[in-house]
Amino acid sequence: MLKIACVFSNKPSSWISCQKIVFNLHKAYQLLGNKFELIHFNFSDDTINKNELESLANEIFKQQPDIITFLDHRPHPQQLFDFLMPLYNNQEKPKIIFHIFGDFSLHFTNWYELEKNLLKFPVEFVVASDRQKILIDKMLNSSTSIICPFPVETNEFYFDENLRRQQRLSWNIKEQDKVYIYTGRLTRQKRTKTLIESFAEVFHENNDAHLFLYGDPDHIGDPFVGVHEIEGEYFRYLYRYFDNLPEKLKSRIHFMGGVPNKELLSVYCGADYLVIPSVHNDEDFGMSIAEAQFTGLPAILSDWGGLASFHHENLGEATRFIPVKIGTSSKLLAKNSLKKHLKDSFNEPLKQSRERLAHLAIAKFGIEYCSRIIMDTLIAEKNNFKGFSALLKQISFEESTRRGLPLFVSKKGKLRKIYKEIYSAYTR
Amino acid sequence: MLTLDKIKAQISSRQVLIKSPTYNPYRTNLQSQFRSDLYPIPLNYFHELNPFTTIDLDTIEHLNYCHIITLRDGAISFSDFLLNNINRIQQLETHFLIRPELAPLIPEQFKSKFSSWRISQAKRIRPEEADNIFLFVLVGEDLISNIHNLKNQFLNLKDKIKSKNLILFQSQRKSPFENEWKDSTLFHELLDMIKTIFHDNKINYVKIKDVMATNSWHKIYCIDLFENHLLHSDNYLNHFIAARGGTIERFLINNQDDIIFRLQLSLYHEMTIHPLPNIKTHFPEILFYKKKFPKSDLLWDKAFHHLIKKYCP
Repeated sequence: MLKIACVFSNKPSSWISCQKIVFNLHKAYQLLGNKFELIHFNFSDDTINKNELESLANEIFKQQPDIITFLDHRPHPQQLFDFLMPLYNNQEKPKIIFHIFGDFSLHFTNWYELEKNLLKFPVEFVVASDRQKILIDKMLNSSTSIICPFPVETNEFYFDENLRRQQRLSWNIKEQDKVYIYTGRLTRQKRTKTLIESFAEVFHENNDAHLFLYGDPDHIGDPFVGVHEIEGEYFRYLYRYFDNLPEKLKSRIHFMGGVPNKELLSVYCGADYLVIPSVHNDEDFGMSIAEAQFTGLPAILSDWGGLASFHHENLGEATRFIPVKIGTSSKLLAKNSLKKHLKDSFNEPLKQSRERLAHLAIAKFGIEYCSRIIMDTLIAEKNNFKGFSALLKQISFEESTRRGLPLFVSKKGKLRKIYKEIYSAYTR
Repeated sequence: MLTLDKIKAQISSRQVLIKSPTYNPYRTNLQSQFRSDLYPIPLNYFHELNPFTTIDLDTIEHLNYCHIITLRDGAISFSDFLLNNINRIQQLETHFLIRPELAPLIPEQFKSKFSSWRISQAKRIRPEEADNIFLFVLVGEDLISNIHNLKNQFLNLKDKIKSKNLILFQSQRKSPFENEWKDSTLFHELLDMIKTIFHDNKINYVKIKDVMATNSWHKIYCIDLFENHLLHSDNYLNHFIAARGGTIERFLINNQDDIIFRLQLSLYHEMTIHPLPNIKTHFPEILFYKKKFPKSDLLWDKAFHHLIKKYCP
């Protein structure tokens, strides 16, 4: 029996999608069966002082796990390894698995600092999508990462005709109306304003189209490209535009705020299209899109990062993509393409049943499928970590020497070559 | 006089002092002390009607760039600003929005240059409906005016929140208008009071970083116990929490009279502009004090603070 130390925080992440991801990843491990013994270790933002880190490292070591797997995105494991590594000095080392989240690029220096301890361990980096693999592999010296999507539970998201009816009643929507939904934070990097503008421009005369936005605004801005916002700023930017629209159009754009994840099942069932034009730097996957596809909901997505994973070869029409390119100062989303997709999707709805899309999504992101990938990763031959690449080292060096200047933006506000080197992985 | 045209001109200009390239919230020691002693209350937030605190003002001439300014000051810094700039304020085109509690400080002849502002929430929950109750308090000799008032407040709340989780942020601070710490037992007195009164509730003690890292405040009823109009009149944390779905006890319900204008600040709370309350001005009394003690730096003058407290309780 293989003993696996599952390291994650008992305290839920402040990011709602990450709460779900960690929970579902742990469930995927629990599906592995009797050949594996799982032991959970709480590693949270509260475990940051020397004594607590040392105590945690000792607890893990005492259990002599064959594998230590990090399921969470924070805190960064670098400090923990400072205490863990010496314990394994002359001992056989367990395999280390890191499930990588989208915030990898917020911690280049931590990963670089971790290298010296990791070199002595067999390590696997597990990423959630093809494009995240391209990005992460650029950071690794001759190793390559393994793709395992963040899993979705089939009994949590599925299509139900009754739920659809009830949801549309609660929205006060006629059956022939088309409902477009957006789920996620209302934020600059997810191009929420572009979505509202595009909807307004395409459907200004069409009283049968509605846009429901589920999520609360934030003020994260786009710090990688030098855009910093303060509380309330993005909301006002968004709302100012919305408030100036004609009343008839405003009445078809609905700000629903944040709702608990379990309420989204009805929302997805009631909707006709999910639209996420995100160009967020952290877009490694797209948990909400996976969940929506489990209900058979077709989508209009930016062709950026992990969102590209939601294409299905056997049902290409279920996902329409908006081209993205990296411009001189920011990421550029092809707004005309978004508008065309909105128009076409209204006039040419998906012909295949929702069940067909749901089956394809389950096969690709279901918890059972992910559990099998995890099993293969656990039992695969050990590969000793060969270090991080020169690119990661360069980024880490620049991070520490730019003294408060944005890492990826020049003084003239142009995106630096290093940004394009990293994030070209997220474009086609 | 405040007109809709002026409001719309300010909104469309988006000339907001905190976004100015020369704005620096740590330019002076006082600003740094203010931000450190009262953190996170004075943190900046944005709307087009220019929320600002006068201690951040470099020169009063900067106000000429703005049609409207929404002051977040407490009574001490506001009265200091008035008394030091009374002639120049007269010449400004800027219209000032202040909290209604500061209205007694406005000179009679300037009342047309001032209106008041409030915050309200259309959708609110009652404490009984909340999953959690959040208590926020900064404790210090000059920060809490009357611990007995707090006790009454807690006793009123007790029955409404039986068995609910209490999330408590309590921090010992000093007034930014004091240079030295004062020893105080208030922190422990307050903590004991809370534990005694709410002995049936599970109390979860949080740090400010936990509060600021929480992205969803839906079904949480929030009680801001920092009721100190002398030091500051607009807690950033209330805006942060309201914008994330929390119900703020001190925000009003959305059915007020005399609303000149509404500005949506988030999906869940809005600012409303009202005429200045029609109350007696005490500006002559504070002007008299200034003339009697011309060399006194009013921001640090405890006797002046006591005087102000009488008019802005």
